[in-house]
Amino acid sequence: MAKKETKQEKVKKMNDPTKKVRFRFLREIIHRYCKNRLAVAGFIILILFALAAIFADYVAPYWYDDQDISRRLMNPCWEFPCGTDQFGRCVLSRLIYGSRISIEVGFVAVGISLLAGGILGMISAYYNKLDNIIMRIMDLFQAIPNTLLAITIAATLGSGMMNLMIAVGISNVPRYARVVRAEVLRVKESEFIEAATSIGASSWRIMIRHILPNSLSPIIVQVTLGIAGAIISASALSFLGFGLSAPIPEWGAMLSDGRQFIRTQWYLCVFPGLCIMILVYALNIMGDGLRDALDPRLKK
Amino acid sequence: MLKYIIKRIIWLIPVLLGVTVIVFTLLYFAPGDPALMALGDTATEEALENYREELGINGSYLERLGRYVVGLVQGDLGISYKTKTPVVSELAPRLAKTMNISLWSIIFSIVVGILLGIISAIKQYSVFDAIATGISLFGISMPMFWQGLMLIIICSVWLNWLPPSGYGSFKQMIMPVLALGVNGFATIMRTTRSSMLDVMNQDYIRTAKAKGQTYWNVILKHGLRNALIPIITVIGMQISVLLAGSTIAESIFSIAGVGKYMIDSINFRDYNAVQGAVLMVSFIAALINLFVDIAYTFADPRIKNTFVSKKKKKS
Repeated sequence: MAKKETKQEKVKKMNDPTKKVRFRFLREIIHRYCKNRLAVAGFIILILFALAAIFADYVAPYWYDDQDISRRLMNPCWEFPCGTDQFGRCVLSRLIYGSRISIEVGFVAVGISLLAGGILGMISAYYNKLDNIIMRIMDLFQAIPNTLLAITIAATLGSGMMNLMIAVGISNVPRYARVVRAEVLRVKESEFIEAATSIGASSWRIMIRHILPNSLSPIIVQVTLGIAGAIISASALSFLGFGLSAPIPEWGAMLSDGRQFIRTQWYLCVFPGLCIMILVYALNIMGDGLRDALDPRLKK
Repeated sequence: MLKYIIKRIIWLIPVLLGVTVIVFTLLYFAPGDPALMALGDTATEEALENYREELGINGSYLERLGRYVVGLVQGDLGISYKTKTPVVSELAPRLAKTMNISLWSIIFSIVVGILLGIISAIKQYSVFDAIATGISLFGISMPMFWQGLMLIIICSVWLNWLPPSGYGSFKQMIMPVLALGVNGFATIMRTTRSSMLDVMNQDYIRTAKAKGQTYWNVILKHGLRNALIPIITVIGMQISVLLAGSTIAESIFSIAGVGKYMIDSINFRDYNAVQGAVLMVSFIAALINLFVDIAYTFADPRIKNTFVSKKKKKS
C-alpha cells in the first residue's frame, strides 16, 4: 500500500515545474511523509473522496436530484444505505455528488485567496514603501471576524457557487498575504538572492524564479490546512442559507434541510456532517504530516 | 507600561474606522433597495426619496458614509429598515446573550485546552496523550454547526437530558457553550501541547529539576510560563473565531443573540441592522484582542520593549 502511495505522490509532485530541480530533496520529503502513517491515511482518504467526486456518475446509485415521493424519509436500509430525504432522494448519492462541490469549492476558494494573498504578500515584502500600506489594510480585514466577513461578502454577492468561492476566498486573503510575506522576507535575506541581484536579474525574475520556489514549504502546509478551513466555511455559509441551496447537494445545505427532521430522521443530520468531518480530518492530518516532512529541522 | 496601553488604545481608533469603511462599502453594494421593497413598484420617485430620507439612506456613497461615521461616533448605528427603531437599542439586549455564551465557551476552551495540553505534554506518548491528541484532531475537524446538531440528537432527542433550544437556564446553556467551545479547546490544546514539549526540552528545565524544584513548580513556573506566548496568540485568534461562530450557534439553538439577529436581517435585506451587528462584534473582538496584547506584555516583557522602540523609530 505504502509503495503505491509513493508513486502517486511522486507523479503529482513531478508535474510541478518549480520542483523538478530539487528531485532528490523531493524524494526525501516523500520518504519522510510516508513514514507518518496517519498522514498517508489522510492522503488515501483524500484520494478516495476525489475518486468519488470524479466518478460520481458511476459510483452513485441514483442521480442527486432523483425525486420519488413514494420512498420519502426512509430509514437507512440495504437499498439506501444513508436513507432518503423528504423528497425521496437517495442521501448516499447526494453525498457522493456533494463531494464534488465541497472539493471544488475548497480548492478554488483557497486558490483565490492564495493568488490574491500571494501577490499582495510578495509585493509588500519586496517593495518597502507599499509594505506598511498593504499590511495595515490586511490588519483591517483581519479585525473583522472571518466568518462574519464571509457572511457579509456572501450577502452582498448573493448565492451561487462562484459567489460562495469568492466570499470564502476573499475572507481568507489576509492570512495568506501574511504567510507569503513572512516567507519572502526570510528568503530575501539569503545569499543567493544577493547573487541574483548582483548579476542583474530583474525583480520579477527574482521573485518568480528564486524567491517563490524557496518559500514554498510553509505555503504548502498553509494551503492544505486552508482547504480544510475553506470547506468548513463554505458549508457553514450554505448551512446558514447564504451559499448553495436546493437542489444542489452541498453538505452544509443538506444538514440545514435535515434540521427540520432532527427528532425523527436523525440520519439526515448525521451523514453530511460526517462527510465534512472525515474530509477535513484527512486534510488536517495531511497538513500536519506535510509540516513535519517539510520542516528542515527534522531533516537529519 | 501605561504608555504602551494608551498607545494601543489610540491605535484602536483607526482600526475601528477602517473596519467601518470596509463593512459599509461591502454592504453598500448589496442588492435590493429597501425603499422599493417597502413601498412596491408603483411608488412614485418622490415617495421613494422621502422613504430613503426617513431611513437615512439617501444621497451619494460618501455622504452616506460620512453620516454613518458621524452617527457612529455619537453611538448611533442608524435605523433598522424592518422595525424603524434604532439598531443600537435592538442590539443591546441581544449582545448580553451573545457575550454570555461566547465568554463561557472561551473560558471552557481555555481551561480545558491548557489543562489537557499540559497533561499530554508531560505524559508524552502515554495512552492519555494519544487519546487527547486524537480527540483534539477531531475537534478541529468538526464543523461547529454539525457539533451542535449532534449534541441536540444525542442529548435532547435520544437521552432527553437537555432542552434543544432557547436561552436562560443553566441547562440550556450547556450545549451552545460546548458546541462553540470544542474547536477552540482543540486548537488551544494542540498549541499548548507542542509549546510545552518545546519548552520542556530546554536546558533551563533540566537545571530547575536539578536544583531540586518540586515537580509542579518546574511544570507551571518554569515550563508553562515560558510556553505561554504561542498559547496566548492562539487564544487571541480563537476569541474572534468564537465570537463569529456564535452566529451559527445561535441559529442552531434558536437563541435571540446578535448573530441570529444578523442572519435574520440579511434575509430581510435590512442592511443597517447587519452593519450594526457586524461592527458591534468586530469592535468587541478588537477590544478583546487589545486585552490579549496587553496580556502578552505580562507573559513576556521583551515584547513591550520591541513594540515601544519600533513606534519611536517610525515617528
